[in-house]
Amino acid sequence: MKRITLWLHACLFVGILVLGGVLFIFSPKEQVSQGEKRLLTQWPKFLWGAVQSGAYMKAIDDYVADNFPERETLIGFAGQIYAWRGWPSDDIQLFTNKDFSERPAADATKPARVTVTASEGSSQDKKAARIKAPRTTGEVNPAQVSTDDPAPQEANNVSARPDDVPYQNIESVIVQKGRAVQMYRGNPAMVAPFARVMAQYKEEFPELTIYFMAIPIGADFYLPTKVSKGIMQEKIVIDHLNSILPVGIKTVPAYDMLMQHKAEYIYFNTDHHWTALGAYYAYTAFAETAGFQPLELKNFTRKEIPRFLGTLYHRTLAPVLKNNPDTVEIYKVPVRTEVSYFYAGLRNGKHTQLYAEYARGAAAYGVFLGGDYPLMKIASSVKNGRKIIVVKDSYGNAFVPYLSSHYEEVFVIDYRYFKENIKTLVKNEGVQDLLFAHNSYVMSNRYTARQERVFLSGLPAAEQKTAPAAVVQ
Amino acid sequence: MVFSSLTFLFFFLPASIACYYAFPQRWVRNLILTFFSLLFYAWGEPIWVLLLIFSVVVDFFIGLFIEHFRERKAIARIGLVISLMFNLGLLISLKYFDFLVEITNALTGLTFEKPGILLPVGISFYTFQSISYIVDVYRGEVSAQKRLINYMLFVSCFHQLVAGPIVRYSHVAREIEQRVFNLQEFIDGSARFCKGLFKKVLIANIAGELAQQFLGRNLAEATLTGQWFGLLMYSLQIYFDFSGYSDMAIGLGWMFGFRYQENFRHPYIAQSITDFWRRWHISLGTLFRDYVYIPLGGNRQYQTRNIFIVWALTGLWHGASWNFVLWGLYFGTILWLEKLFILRWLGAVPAFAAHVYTLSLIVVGWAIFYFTDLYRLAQSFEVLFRIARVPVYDFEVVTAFSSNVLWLAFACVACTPVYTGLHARLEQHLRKGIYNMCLLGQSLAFLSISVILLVGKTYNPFIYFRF
Repeated sequence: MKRITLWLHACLFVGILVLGGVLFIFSPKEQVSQGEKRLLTQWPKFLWGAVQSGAYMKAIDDYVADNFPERETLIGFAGQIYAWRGWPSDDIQLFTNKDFSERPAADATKPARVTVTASEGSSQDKKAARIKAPRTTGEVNPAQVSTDDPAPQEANNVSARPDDVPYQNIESVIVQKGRAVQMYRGNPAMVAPFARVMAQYKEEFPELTIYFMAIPIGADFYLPTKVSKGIMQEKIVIDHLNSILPVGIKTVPAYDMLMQHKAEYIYFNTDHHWTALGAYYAYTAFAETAGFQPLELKNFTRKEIPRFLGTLYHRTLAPVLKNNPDTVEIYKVPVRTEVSYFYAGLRNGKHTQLYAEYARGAAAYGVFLGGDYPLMKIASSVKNGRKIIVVKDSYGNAFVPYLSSHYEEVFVIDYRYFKENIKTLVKNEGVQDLLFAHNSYVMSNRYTARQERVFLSGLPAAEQKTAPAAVVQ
Repeated sequence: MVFSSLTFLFFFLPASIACYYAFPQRWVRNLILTFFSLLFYAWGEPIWVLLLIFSVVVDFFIGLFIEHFRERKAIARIGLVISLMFNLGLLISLKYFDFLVEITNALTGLTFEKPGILLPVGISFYTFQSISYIVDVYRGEVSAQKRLINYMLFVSCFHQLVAGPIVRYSHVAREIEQRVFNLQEFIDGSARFCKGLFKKVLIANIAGELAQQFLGRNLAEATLTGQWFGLLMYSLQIYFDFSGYSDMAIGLGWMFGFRYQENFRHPYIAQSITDFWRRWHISLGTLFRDYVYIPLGGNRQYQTRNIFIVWALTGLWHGASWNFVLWGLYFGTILWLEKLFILRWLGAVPAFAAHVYTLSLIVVGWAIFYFTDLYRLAQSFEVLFRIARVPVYDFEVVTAFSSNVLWLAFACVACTPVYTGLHARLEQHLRKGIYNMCLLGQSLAFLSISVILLVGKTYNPFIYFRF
């Protein structure tokens, strides 16, 4: 009898492991993790070279980890276990960015001595590899995989020069009272490359009205004083950038406008984006700068998508955020629009909608413009002949729709994915206005400057070197 | 492959157990275990596995050679010397070459290029096992293994191949040829494995993230308490990582009928550094004692010199850079001073004071161990000992402490023998069947928590791998 229980015991232990393996084999596999905004690792193709380098086995490990049965549920449990570790002080929780905690010093007087451990390197590589995937497979709907991460080459290129320090998008995150806020670690020196590129644009397009709109990420508005020590870092950097932009570029005071409305629902609690309401206030600021009368909120048709848990929830897995999900509000413009997107050139555009109202769950922010496309064209029923190009990051998605009430054509360029020559676009389409709308992370990132400089000459240098095949498609 | 990966837990481990126990014949089982071990190693080091096999074959034949010429010492010694040159040569050329080039360049002002070889995982462990085998055969303490596959199994067994414990041939020689299956041992082994996994995933990984957060940052932004907190976290990480790994290795051993030497005995409750080193990485300490310290003359001849040689080498074994040498000499010096007079003093003070003395020296030692860059090490010491005027604390350290306070208390208790004591009492007082039920419940709890934390986690490197 006793022997039987021993056998049962041993078999149960092994049986659970076997069961896990069997469940894995038969469980459905996902392509994309909505919560993490990335493609999940797929079963690798057998290549002898990959076996020799170990990459093949590494990919299998990642495949197993990424496709584990009930992965999302288990990740939720993990968040709960982490929350049980203790109590946050003053209800403030800090989530540091472990991938990048070894940030090179900003002054970097001894850059060569900064040690970067192997594990960090590999996690960066991995991240880079994942981000790269959607950009080369043109058929994946960008709305599903949109990320704000800069291109992979930037992340890998740990260089010694101070202004070449790679800059991360999601920094440390503070959670307080059900709201997640990103820390902002930019500084005035970091925006110099962007200002230099703006000068190039000014010189290149003397006939255009060029606008620059710096969009705060909300750190100044919502970080607890204990953390920010009262320093308005975003304001410092934005003011500095506005002051060094070449004369003639019109700056849009979105920061001040949002500041006045910071008590309203202008940023998500669980996502790193602003809401359509925040974007609306920025639009009124733009209207003031550009000299037209903005529409009032009541002119728009309001819709909402409930239960949105965004990137910062998925970054922190904080239960307090899970209990405080967001609602994505949409203010639909009162004009008829015809929208198309382009992967290459201005031919073969595919038809789409201004709002992807089917967007749900973690991808709900994708409702605006349906995600990040290299280039979009919004033609509206406003026949006034005015045309504008907006160069934007993902913050721009919520903002751009409002412009269609005032421009006959709005061209939307995503600074990460656009691969064409912007001069051709300006010339062929006869646009009058050019707006750069960037959040305070993106404007501090050297990668932004590099990308946008290349728009003036054609293909980004890095793409030409590394991935000519991807460009052709 | 690493133990704390889902591939290992749900595919490799059950497959190896099933294949292994599908055959009753011992030689088949040895063959299967060897096959899985080579697969385990090749999973992470597809090229270097050839080196492992090559090294095994060389040492196997040298072992036979020495055995054959046992009566003729001079010839047997040739075998010993060749094997030592081969194994140490491998270790030096793969692990220390860059470091040697660096030293040569610094001394001569020349600028040789570093070859930049990536160190094969576990090489420090398996070359030491091979050396101990050859020396034991030479000394006549064991007879040479006659079957290549058995010798291959001894060196490459996946339980301990990449991170110890360092197994001596004499400990497992009998088990390789005639181990018996014991069901209770299998169960105990599975419980021990789950415990090790839990230590690794729940304590070491979290401590590692916190350590990285506070030690890995730009030291210009550091604070006094932040730096000490980071160091404390690193101390927890390295202990639970390494001892968790040893637990898993020992547990796997029991599941397959091997009894490996215990590697840790609650090192952080030590009352002196001498005591600490009898409790920390025991298989390495005894190896250096038996194969370096005692042959040099031990306590009888040139003791001071012997201590410093052994500890410089111990330091160097952990990694090819100056901070590890420094770390070894740091402990060598303390041990030497303890032998001279400190141990007598410690006998006279209350136990509490002895603990404080020991723990502070250990924790400071981990700072030397952590910073492979001496410039950063110096910077860190300036912060730790308040030479640099940095803030005492900041929001980050306060919140890190309070958000982890329960976990921290748990980890500190887990450093003490409370858990082992509790288990021993339960085993004594409960009926065997009930005790086994408790054990099963514990294993399942440990396993599920570990799996939950492992799922979706990519941050999961074993820090002891490259040493």
